[in-house]
Amino acid sequence: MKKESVALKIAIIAILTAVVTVFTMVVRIPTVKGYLHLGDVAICFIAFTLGPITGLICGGLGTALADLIGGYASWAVVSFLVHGIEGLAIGLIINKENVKFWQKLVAGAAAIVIVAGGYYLLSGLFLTGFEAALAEIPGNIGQAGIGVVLGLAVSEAVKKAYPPIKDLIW
Amino acid sequence: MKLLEFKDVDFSYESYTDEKARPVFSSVSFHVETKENILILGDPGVGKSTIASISCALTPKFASGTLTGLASLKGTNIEKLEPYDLTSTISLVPQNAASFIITTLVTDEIAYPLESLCLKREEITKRIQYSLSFWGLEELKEVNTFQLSGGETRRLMLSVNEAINPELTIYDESFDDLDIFYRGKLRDKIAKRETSSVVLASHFTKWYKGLFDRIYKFEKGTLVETREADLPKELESLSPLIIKESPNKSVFEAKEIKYSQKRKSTGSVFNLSVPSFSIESGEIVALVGLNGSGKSTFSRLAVGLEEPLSGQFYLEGKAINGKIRKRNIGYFYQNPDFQIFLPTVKDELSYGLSFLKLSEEKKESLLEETAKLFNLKLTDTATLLSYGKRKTLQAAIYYLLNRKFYILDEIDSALSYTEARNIISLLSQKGAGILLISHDREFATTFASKVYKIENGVLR
Amino acid sequence: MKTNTYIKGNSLYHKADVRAKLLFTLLSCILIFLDPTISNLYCYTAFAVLLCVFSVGIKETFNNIKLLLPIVGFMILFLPLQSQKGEALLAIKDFVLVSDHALNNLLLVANRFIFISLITALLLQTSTNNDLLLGLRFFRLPYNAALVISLALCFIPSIASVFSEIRESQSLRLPNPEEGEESKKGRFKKLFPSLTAVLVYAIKSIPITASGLELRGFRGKGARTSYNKLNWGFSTFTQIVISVILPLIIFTVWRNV
Repeated sequence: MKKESVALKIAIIAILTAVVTVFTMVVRIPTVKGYLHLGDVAICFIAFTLGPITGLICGGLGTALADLIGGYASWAVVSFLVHGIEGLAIGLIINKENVKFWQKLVAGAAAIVIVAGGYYLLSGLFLTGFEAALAEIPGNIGQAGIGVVLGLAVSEAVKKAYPPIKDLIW
Repeated sequence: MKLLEFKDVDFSYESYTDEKARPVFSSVSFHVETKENILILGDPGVGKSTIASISCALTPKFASGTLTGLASLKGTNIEKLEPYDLTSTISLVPQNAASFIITTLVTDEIAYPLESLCLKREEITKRIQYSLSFWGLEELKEVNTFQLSGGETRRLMLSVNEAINPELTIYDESFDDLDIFYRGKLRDKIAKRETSSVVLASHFTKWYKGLFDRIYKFEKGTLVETREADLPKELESLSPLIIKESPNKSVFEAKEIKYSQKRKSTGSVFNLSVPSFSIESGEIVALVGLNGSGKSTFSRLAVGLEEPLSGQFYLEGKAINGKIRKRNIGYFYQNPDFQIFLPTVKDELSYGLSFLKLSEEKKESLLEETAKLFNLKLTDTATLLSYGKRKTLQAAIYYLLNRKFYILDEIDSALSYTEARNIISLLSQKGAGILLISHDREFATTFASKVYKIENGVLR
Repeated sequence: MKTNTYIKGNSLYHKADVRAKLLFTLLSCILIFLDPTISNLYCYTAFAVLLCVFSVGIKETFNNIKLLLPIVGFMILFLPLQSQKGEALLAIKDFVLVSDHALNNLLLVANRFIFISLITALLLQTSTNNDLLLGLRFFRLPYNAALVISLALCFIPSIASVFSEIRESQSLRLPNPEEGEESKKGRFKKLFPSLTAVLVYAIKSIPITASGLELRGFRGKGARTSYNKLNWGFSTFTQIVISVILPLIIFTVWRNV
């Protein structure tokens, strides 16, 4: 896209936020916190293909919206911070064309630490108390891990299926 | 004054593969003056929607490509213009009506461009009221845009255009989803010539008779001016289909089917009843009916995506459930993109083949042959094909799946009559039975040996 | 998939101005952290429950609480971990299951948690999304941000329904649609194409939506009129004052009484 367009940026963020929300709400496995979901797949996809800023905003906003709509409104701010930072971090770690394997590992580890650790910390402080927050950790680790792996795979597939996507990177 | 003018315009889309750019058309010239109506006819995929988006300064801004020649709006080169400056000058009613929806409520959708034009609240309210009542959407005022049916969405886009009332409107296949009543309304509105209109269409229908000051036609990649009288009668020129008698005859029947569904937009309940329906291998059967009459509902029941409340489906006389129906009937979704997700045409076609144990050579030759039959290139990027070609790809995918029956839903809306005929003939050559669904009665009845009609929730 | 958390009603809270409700909710959630007294917390939670019942009815209130029960359940389950300090209230032989310190902590955290959840859920259930966005814009949320949120809300149901249609249609294009439905691996394999297809669909919609926005006049900056607005009257002013003063009184002044 040659000319600068604010509308395009808005469309990118809005639609990808909606994607994160849908991925978070549509495929679910119920557990402690509420559910495990594929939201992290979407966030990792966005961070891998479109960069850290998009990952930050869409990851944070998307999961926060999912919480608000789903009835878990108290988690909205926590989700916004945790998944936003997750998107930002992954996008920053992996931001070149040819991604080396060790970079993927680092990104995966970062995602797991941020999601599991972030929820533990913030839920513990403000919501459920540290003890109960422990119960969320295994689930979150699994979710973040699957998120990175699937997100990477899907990102490759989509880039091949729809090459013009590279035009949307900020 | 010339409102819109194209002088010798070439356009090609950027190519994302190793090949050179994807050319769309060359040396296209036409013009529209104030209070004039013109018609641009062309087979699907030839570049009509591209002309529309170039005219609105949306291409190449949002779809990378190269433009040569001069396209100008009111004398100014369009390439120097920004779309948001053109809101009150030119408006587009898109072919895919849902694609331009940007708000959640019907009233907000109409209000949006009026807010951009900085109109006062009283004026906006007045225009919303007028547009909604003109297009029969008053009852749906408070409805979510997401819950509207195809026809209602089309009318919403027309309402938005009505409220803006720009100097020039481009109607991209807008007559398509509308009922007879609203087609008449649209025709009358265009005939009034209060503003200029450019209508883009693939077939010349009776609704266009005497409506236009000039008619242009796409021929061999460029535009020529033509006259109504000179337009070929496409349907009549098609040679009749020769159906091979297949040795294994299958019969698919439906008896005493009853089904109920709640309409999303109005909340009213819609009942479908099918006393009796049957289709044999090698037969081409047509199903016609107005928009919203239940054609897609019946398709979903037949294919096995839904189960009827009562009644049974039979294959060779034996009652069958949804799973078996899914195996034997191929359903062409109206939107081909739902099934396309792989990089190239070749990948898409071989995806289905991976389940069959074929040797590499056999697979290759089968793929080559199929691509030739359907006029597809194996190396093309699947998602970037034109809408009509994607529909053709969908047909090729199903062709390889060898289903006993196929349901083709509105295939004529994306393809020229010739291309549609080609697909129908290819699918039925294998001995399959075909159910053609269309709201274009002429098209459906040209090929079919039997015609079913849905009216008031009953299919006979 | 509904993005609508709004439940129609005629209660006082429904009719209250959304800006007042936003302030009230925000202040209450922040100020509740100031008070460590159990008895007061019970009062706050009871107040929240009553407010819910009067605004959206008993059934809805119960639904809201239902979502929280599993989490409270886990909090109870993890009591033994906190039971190192304090006197034992419940013990099996030498192992302290519940100490008074732990119980105290639990009640504190649970009450706070229930209060915050109910108050925020109530805000969403008594205000339409449009109103909420207008309220946020009143508090200086930039127009573009509000547009992003409302566009996202517009796309969530459409992407969700496209996703389920894609899953359906993907199952139809397999030579034998029955295969793979049982095995977990098969189901996963069938999910992957759907994920790719829905993402391609979403990405393809982006330039088209941007086109729609710009053609309908969106510039990124510059003047616009607004069709929807929040009314501003004397009662609104009073409501806002109340929504600020009430939490302040309850959470700071009263607790010292």
